[in-house]
Amino acid sequence: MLKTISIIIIKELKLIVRNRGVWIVFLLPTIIFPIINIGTSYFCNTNSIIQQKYNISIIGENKFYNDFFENQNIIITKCKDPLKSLTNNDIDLIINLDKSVITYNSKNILSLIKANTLGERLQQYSIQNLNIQKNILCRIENEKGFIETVDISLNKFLMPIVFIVFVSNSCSNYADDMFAGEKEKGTLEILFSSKLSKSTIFLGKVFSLIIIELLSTIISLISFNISAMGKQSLDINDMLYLFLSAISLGCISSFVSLSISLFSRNVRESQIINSFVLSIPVTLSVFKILYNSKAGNWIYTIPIINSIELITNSLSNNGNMVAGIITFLTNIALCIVISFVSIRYMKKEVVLQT
Amino acid sequence: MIKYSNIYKSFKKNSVLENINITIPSSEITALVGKNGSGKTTLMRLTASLLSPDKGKIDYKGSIGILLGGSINLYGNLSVEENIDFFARLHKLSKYEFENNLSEINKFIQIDDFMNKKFNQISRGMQQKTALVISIIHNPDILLLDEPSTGLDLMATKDVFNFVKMLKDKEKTILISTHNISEIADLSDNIAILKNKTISKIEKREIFFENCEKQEQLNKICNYLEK
Ligand SMILES: Nc1ncnc2c1ncn2[C@@H]1O[C@H](COP(=O)(O)OP(=O)(O)OP(=O)(O)O)[C@@H](O)[C@H]1O
Ligand SMILES: [Mg+2]
Repeated sequence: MLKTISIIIIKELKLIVRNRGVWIVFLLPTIIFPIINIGTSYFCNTNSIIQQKYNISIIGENKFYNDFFENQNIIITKCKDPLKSLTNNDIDLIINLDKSVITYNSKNILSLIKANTLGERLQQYSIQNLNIQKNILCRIENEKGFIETVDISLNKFLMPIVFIVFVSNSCSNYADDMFAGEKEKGTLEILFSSKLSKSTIFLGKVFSLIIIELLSTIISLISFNISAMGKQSLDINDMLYLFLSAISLGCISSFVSLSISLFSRNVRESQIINSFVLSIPVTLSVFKILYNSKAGNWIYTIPIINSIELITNSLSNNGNMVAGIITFLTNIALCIVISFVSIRYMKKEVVLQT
Repeated sequence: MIKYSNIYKSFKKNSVLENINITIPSSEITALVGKNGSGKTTLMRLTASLLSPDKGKIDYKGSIGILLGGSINLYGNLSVEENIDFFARLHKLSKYEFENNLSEINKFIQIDDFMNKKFNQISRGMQQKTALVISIIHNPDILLLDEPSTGLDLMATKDVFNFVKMLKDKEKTILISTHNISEIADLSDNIAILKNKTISKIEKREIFFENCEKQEQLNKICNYLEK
């Protein structure tokens, strides 16, 4: 059976590689990531956020900052319970001058961005005016009192989405051809007439998709790291977590798109359903990033969401080993379930549904 | 020998084949004749278990090779050789068997001159020949040929004729679905007529065309189908 699977893999890979479009799958990441990196470093320096109104509440007193708060587009609101106002989004931030801490609302992305922008500017201000190299206002925390340093570079928001788009979409086109395309042409019938088992055919095809997926993920990772050299590049652990989550998400998308291709009557049908289904992880990842909440490790047991979570976290150097392993295992388990169901319901009649 | 017992097949509510009880004799060529849409291809698909019958069962011994009619399509971006090689590997042929079988076939059906061309760059007839080669590359005991001479030139048709005869000499059981009068009248040993969704019996060719002049054979069949 392994030998037959490898025969099918070789044939599928030959067909894929002879199709010039495959080079897009490999070349796109090497072009896109540098562009995004240049773009984000450009946009982070623009004034769009700086020019916005900042509605803040100040705790404590420090005359040194008076100038800073007066000259800016900052509205200082007096509130009885600043934390409550922050939670209600009445104010954007709380600045505690005694403890040198900025508190933001983690449920509100604008609050986070403003915390970072203002934090950076406060630091600059204090360095310029005191001429000391020490960070004065350096800690930023959310309303739960959780202290974290956050970078506002768009990397954190954009990169996970780009990654997820690449990973989940790079193979669906080939999946469309593999069953729906062969059905349309009639070659699937010849395949079936050669007395191959259904699982052999399915696995042969899905493994060749995974090989392409693997290559494109590795290329994405390398080009991401090279283009982010210095500023944002990931350490080896985060690379590993990113790889585990990306490849297991890639596996799911391969299995799903191949199953859709199997049960579609023609290529067009398969393309339409696939593009719809594959927009789900992208949509989820947008939601995930907007609701920048901290969930426990249990979140890694939900397939697809776990990959998004892990990709987001490891891109900001927050990955962890347990999460990586749970993500990988649950996603692979889902793949096994999908392939069982597909093979189980893969009737010979399906071949003729043109 | 292929034994059909009580075969029924319908697509959705559209009945195509009903109550087929016949036996295709071994080591002979049987022509399957019927109007367009009478269910010949469906019967072949059932035989190769590409479809399952609603009722009844089909018994046979040995391996099956099938050439499906209609538009022939293989992997366009692979060369003819790669296409043949792929299916040969799936049939688990060794390199030696593959080359042996191929050179045997090549004596009758010339494919050497376009072996290295991409499948989507060869002519209709060449494609038909390639598909034919693929259906017999593993040297099957039973051969189901659905309109094998579609798109072939006169010489190639003759080559296929001779090839099928040679296969018969090698004790293969052959079922040809055809609209070609000379395939029916000259090549086949038996004639199976598919009419009103069933095949009532298989007749020897000599008996079917008894006292029938060459020019009248076509009329005889047409009359029979229309009756
Ligand atoms: N996949 C399918 N789904 C629904 N109906 C089908 C399907 N395949 C065949 N049919 C119907 O079954 C009938 C028999 O078709 P079939 O292809 O077996 O005819 P045929 O005898 O081979 O015709 P021809 O001489 O034109 O090749 C036709 O009425 C056709 O519409
Ligand atoms: Mg037909």
